[in-house]
Amino acid sequence: MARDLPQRLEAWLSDREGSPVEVRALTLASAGARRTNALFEAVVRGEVRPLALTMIPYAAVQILDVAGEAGVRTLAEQHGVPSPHIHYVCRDEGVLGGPFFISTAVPGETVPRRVLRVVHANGIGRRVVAQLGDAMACLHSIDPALAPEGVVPLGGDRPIEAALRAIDEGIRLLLDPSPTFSYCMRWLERHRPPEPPRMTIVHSDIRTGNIIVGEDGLRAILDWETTRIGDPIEDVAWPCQRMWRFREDEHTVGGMADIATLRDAYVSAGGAWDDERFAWWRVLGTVRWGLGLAGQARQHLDGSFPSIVMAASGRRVPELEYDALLLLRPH
Amino acid sequence: MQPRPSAIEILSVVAEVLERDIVPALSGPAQHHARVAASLVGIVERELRLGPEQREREAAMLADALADRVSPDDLVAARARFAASLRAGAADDDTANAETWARLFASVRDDLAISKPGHDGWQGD
Repeated sequence: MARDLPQRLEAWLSDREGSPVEVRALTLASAGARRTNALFEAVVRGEVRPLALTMIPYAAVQILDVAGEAGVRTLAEQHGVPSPHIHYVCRDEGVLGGPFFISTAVPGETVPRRVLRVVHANGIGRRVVAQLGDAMACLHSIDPALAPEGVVPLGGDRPIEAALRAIDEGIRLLLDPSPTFSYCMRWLERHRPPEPPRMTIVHSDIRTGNIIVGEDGLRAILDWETTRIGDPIEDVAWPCQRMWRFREDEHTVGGMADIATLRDAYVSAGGAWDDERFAWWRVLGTVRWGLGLAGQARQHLDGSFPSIVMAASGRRVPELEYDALLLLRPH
Repeated sequence: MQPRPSAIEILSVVAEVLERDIVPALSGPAQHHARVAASLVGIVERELRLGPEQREREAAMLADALADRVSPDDLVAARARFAASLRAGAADDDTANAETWARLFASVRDDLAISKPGHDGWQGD
């Protein structure tokens, strides 16, 4: 992040507002390889606005560009999905050193363990999960034709086939063969559901860790950069993965509540639930994550991304093998 | 011959110092990296301690599954054969499926005893 970021931000905002804007209390919330998040206050014509800056450090690694992400977040917000309101979008990398957007800073917890502490201290696990189900149903009700440019299906209009092929490729690239993942792949092939009857906008990463929660419940869904068109059931299955429970294993959905709570809320808000498709996506998501971890270790070993964190990912693969097997326990 | 402490004993104390003294003294990415380092040192310590017997058990499991001889020194090739047979449908029928699932489950739990003890404390889902 550039040292003169507050000054650059002030100049750009003043220009946009047509009056001098003061930027103060700028603090870096997180800085990753893919994005930088900072919180600040903008004083505009005497009014103090708490804002959040999301900047993409390198344009090349964007999955969905800032305009696409800002567009889909605004679209979701208009359809009742809690998402921090977008105030400004800038695609020009010259302004801050990368494209960015600025949204309302929503107060609350995002760090998983803190989220779960707030949830359980206030007894709002079922409320938050129901709110997630409701939000997903709202998102999935949007006509995908309204999605901004860049929100596209992976693998054309066949998300099931595309997801299976990606698993196949991941298994082929494993440095050590995994009988467990091959076993899972066989199950996924034999139980593959038909391609979805309806394709929708899919956030693809709604889970504990990507939401803002306060004492009153869900306040916002974050990180829309992987939004695409796909099978809506993929979205509802994802927060149920064991790794998003952060040791609160008895609460299947994100360490907060059970699947029935999620399903009931999703269905009451107009979502079309499908148990078999849901079970399939849970297994697929678990295997895909395990193969992703193996891929990170591979990137460390081949020198394309040397990092102790990437190296350690390789030794996390058995956790995902175990979680996948739990989902396939014979009756 | 190297005097004591042994490699296992050294890794054990390194992991302890990283976790107890170094991680709390750091912040930000350095703290995260130190935490990961502590976890990796712990994994290697357990691998040195438990690995030889674990490889024996995996070789026996693979020999059983493949109805063939499998050496603990050649697990990768045997794993590849087992994986290929499963992908081709060797565990499709109910009996073979139950037997295979139990084999894989035991083997993965054995791996977890080294890489993440306690991960198998949850057997729900």
